[in-house]
Amino acid sequence: MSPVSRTAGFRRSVLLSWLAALACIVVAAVALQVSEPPSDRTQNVTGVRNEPVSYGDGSVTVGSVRVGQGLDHFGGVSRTAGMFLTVDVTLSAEGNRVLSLGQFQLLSGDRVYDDYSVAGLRVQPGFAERTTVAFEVDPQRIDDLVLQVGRGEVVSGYHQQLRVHLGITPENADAWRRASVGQVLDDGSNTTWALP
Amino acid sequence: MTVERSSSTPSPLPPAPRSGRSRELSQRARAWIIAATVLTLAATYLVAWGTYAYAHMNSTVRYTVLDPGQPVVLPAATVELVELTLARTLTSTYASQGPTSADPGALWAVASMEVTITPGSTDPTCVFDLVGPDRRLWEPAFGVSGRTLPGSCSDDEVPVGRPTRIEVIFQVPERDADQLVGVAVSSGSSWRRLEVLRPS
Repeated sequence: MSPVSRTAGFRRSVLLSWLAALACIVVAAVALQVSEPPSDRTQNVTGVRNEPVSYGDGSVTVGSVRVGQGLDHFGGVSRTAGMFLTVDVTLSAEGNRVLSLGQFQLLSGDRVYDDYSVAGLRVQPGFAERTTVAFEVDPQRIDDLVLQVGRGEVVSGYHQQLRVHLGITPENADAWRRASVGQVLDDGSNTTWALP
Repeated sequence: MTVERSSSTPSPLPPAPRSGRSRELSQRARAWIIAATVLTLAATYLVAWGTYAYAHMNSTVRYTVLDPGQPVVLPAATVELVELTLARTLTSTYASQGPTSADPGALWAVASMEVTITPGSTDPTCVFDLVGPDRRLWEPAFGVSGRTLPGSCSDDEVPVGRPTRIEVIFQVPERDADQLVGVAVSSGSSWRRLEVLRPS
């Protein structure tokens, strides 16, 4: 075979490889789109405290925020040199499928606080469940805390995360720090009820 | 000793090389085979993922509702729904516990089923879901203890080969309670449509 035809054959192979790679990308994109429920196209949703935020077939409502230096859970009181912060989270399964939340994090700039007591919600259709999620935070880094919640699955075709500002600002952060002194919080038990 | 090759005698000819055209065809065929393999893998991925999405995210294809009293035959067991009853509270064999109330606005739905474990099944698995209006689906409730009947196919009290009564408890909103369709049963790993039992 002449060098010219060998070069031409090599170019054809490269071209075919690129076409195959492109086909793979297109196929993967189509498959991902096919598997995505129509109501869940948004990756990150920003919500407001005490107002329901759309999540899957239902909604999530981030409610009361409390701060303290002790946390009553599992029958005992844990103390911290920092600050405990608890947030009420309600998951409502208004559609026909089970809804779950498995990831709760507090964002403070580039700092991420994981939940202190492992929390999780799994709600049957037509029901709502409220849980109290506890975090241990640095009192000096509570400005503009944002709660981030999501399903927290390792493998998922899509992932929706909700972010809600907790209402702690640089202007009122001192008041929150003062309010935490001597307080013992209760992370409580989950409450479930049927939706009307 | 040196051996001098004679230049007068022709050396034997080497094997005839394959023509340039046949080598070119071979390379081309190889390229096509690689491309076809990659495309086949991609198509397999698409078909598998698309089938999964269609089966699990399209509520119109997932269930087959059986006639009243008709059993479901799983690899590990045969299951028949005997009775589906509603209750506001459930009794417990634990005297100190007292009756267990459903959550506010909800009722218990108790599915009494007859299960016959297939001989040879070492770890029979039956997955139950309650199907309601508009294919709404509830998983079994947990936290109800002190019941007299076993709660699953794999319970130690369910013998192999002998029909045994079990009960699976669900919690449903009261407003859906009069529109229940039946109990979907599967072995948990089947690609088949779920079959929905209805009480006899």
